Amino acid sequence: MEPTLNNMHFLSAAYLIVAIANIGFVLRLMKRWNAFRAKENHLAVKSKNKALLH
Amino acid sequence: MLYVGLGLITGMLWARPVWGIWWTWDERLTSFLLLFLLYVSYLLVRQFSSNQSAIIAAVLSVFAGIDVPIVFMSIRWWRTQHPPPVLTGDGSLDRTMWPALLLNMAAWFLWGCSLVWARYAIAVREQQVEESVALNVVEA
Repeated sequence: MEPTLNNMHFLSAAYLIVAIANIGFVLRLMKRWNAFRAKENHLAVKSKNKALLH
Repeated sequence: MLYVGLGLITGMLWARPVWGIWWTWDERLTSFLLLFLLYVSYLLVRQFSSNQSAIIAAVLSVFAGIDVPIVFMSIRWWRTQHPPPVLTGDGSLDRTMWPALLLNMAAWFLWGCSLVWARYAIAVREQQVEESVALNVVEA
């Protein structure tokens, strides 16, 4: 199939959708990573405080 | 699920200018849609954390695993609207397209490996944190 102006719209739309989906997926992974880091830091502070008390 | 969904959407965007239709219920497209629905069901069932939902999710994943080779072989087993294999079948790919295809395949493969690695690394660390939370509770 030769690319024409008509089907270039469909091709551009496909590129755009794939790019948005990939960026969205990476952002979701980053959000999950940050949530886990926050939890980990919270635990570290808690155990440090516990050690100081003892 | 995300990438099967992307395959469906971009496939429809390709089909409209090439076939003149967005969708047809042929074997390849239908089995691929079934795969997408199985993954959606799997993720929905996984949201519930009871023992029974884990078993249902496992059964769904087995069905999805069985559907994958059916999707792959559908254009060999049946005459479909979808074109027959271009790389390994009777069809032929233009020589000028090979570098673009191989580059794309390599890029998607590396991207897939990176995502699996990132997802695995997060899951392992999440488990470690959950373990230490549980230990803290036991100690307290």
